[in-house]
Amino acid sequence: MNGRTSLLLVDDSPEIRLLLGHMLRSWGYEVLVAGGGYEAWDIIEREQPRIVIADWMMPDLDGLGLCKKIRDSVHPGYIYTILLTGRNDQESLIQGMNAGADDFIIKPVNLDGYNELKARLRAGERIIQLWQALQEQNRRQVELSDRLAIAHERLRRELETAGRMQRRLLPPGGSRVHGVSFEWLFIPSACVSGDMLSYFGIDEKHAGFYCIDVAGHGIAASMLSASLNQLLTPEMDGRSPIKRRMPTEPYYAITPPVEVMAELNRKFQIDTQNFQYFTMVYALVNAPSRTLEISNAGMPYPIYLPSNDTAYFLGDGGFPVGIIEQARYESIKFQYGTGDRLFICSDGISECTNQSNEMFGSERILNLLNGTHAMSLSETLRELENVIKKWNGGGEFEDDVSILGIQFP
Amino acid sequence: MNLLDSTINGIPILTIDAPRPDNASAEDFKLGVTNRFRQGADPLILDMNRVIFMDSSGLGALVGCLKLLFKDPKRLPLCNVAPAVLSLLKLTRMDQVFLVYPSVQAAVEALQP
Repeated sequence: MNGRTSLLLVDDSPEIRLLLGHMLRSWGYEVLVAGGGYEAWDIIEREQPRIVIADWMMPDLDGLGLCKKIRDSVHPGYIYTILLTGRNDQESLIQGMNAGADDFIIKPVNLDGYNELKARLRAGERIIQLWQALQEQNRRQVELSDRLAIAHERLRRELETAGRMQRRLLPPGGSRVHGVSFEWLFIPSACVSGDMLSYFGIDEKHAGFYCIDVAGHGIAASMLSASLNQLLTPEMDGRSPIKRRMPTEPYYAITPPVEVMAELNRKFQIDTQNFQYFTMVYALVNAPSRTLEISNAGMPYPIYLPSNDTAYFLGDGGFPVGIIEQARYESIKFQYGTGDRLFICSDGISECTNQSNEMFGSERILNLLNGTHAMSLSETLRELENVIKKWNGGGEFEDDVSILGIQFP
Repeated sequence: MNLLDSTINGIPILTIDAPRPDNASAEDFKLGVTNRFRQGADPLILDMNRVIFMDSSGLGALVGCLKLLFKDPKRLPLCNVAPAVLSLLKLTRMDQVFLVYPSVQAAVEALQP
C-alpha cells in the first residue's frame, strides 16, 4: 500500500468522532468522518476508503445496514469493516457478521480498548494487503494467459503455414514418369510432418522415388524431412546424391540406391546435439529394361502386389539412416510385370492403434491390398485411407501417415 | 516414465516400466540412462519385460545411449524383449547391433568373467 491507509469513521456522536478520529490520525491513518449511514455511503462511493469503522446504532442508516450496502455493491478494493457496538452477545455477533462486518469493537472504547482497536486494525490491514496481492496475482495470471493465448495462436498459424509449405514440396498425385504411375496419401499428425515422399524422372530411361520417415514428428522432424527433400533431387547441382556430374559422356552417373543410402548415412549421423535419424526407401526404375532396384533403410517392409498373384513383403529391412556409421545397405533388383504394384507405407499406419489399443499391423495392410486387384491405384489408396481413418477412430493421427503407391506399365 | 533399479551380483539392472514408451518417455529414458551411466552404471542390463511395443523414437533413444555412452553393445545388453520390439529390431537390423538375452540371468552370466 502506498501512503497512509484511508479510513472512514462513522458515528452519530460528535465526541466520539473527535476523540477516536484524533487517535486514529495519530496512528497514521488518513481519517474521513461521517455522522450517519447515508453520509458515510456517499463518502465510500466517492473516496473508496480501505477501512470503515461504523457505530452499530445510528438514527438513519445504522452500521448493520451500512455493512450490508458495502457487501452488496462492487468496489475496486476490499473494504474492511469494523462495527462499534455495545452488544457483546453471540446473537448480535452472528447478526453483524451475516451483514458483512469483518470485526467488532465493544463500546465504550477506553484506554485498553484503544490498544485492542489498534491490533484489530493491523489485522484488517493484513487482510487488505492479502486481498490486494491476490488481486495483483489474478491480474497477472489473466494477462499471462492472454499473452499465452496470443502466442499459441501465432504458433498455430505458423505451423499451419509450415504445413502448407511442406505439402507444396510433395509431388502431384496421379502422375506418370516413364509410364510408371504414382499416387500418394499424406496425413500429417500435427500440421507439419516428419514424413516425406517424392518421385521423379532422372534421365530419359530412369525414374526414382523415395519415402522418408524422420523419427519423431513435429517441427524438428519436418525441418529434416524438408531439407532431405531439397537434397534428393535429380538436378545436377553437384550436391544431389542421386545423380552426379561426370567428366565424360553422358556427363552424369546415376547413383545406385545402396550408395544413396550410404552417402546419406555418412552425412546425417546422430551426435549428442542432434539425436535425429530417419528410415527411408529409395528405388530406381529402369524403364527400358523393366527393372526395379530398391533399398530399404528401416522403413516397414514395402508390399509388392503382382497383377495376378497375392501380395508379399519385399526384402528383409535394413539399418535406418544416421545411427550406425559403418552400416552396409542392401538392395533387391528384379523385373516387374505389367500392372504390378508396390506400396510403401510409413509406420504411422502399421502402428496406428484403435480404441482397444490394438495396432493396425503390417499383415492387415497386406491382407487389405490382396483384395484390391480390381481397383485402380487411386481407388486402392482411398480404400486404405478409409480403413485406416476408421481404425484410428476419426480423430487426429498420433503419428504421420504416408503411403506411396506405384503401378508399373 | 518409470525406470526401476536393481542389481544382481553387483551388476546394475534397469527395468523400463512402460508398456508403450512414446516420444516423451524416450526423453526420460535417455536422461535416466545418462544419469546412471555417469554415476558408474556401466555395464547396465536393460530389462524390457514390461515393454510390449516400442516406436522409432524409443529405438532412437536406445541406439543413442549405446552409441554415445556405452559404445560397446556388451556394456548395454537387452533382455526379455517382447516379439513386437524384436521385430522392430529385426526390421532395422538392430538385432545385429544389440546383444539380446532371453532372461536377466542370461545377461548377468554373459557379463561374468
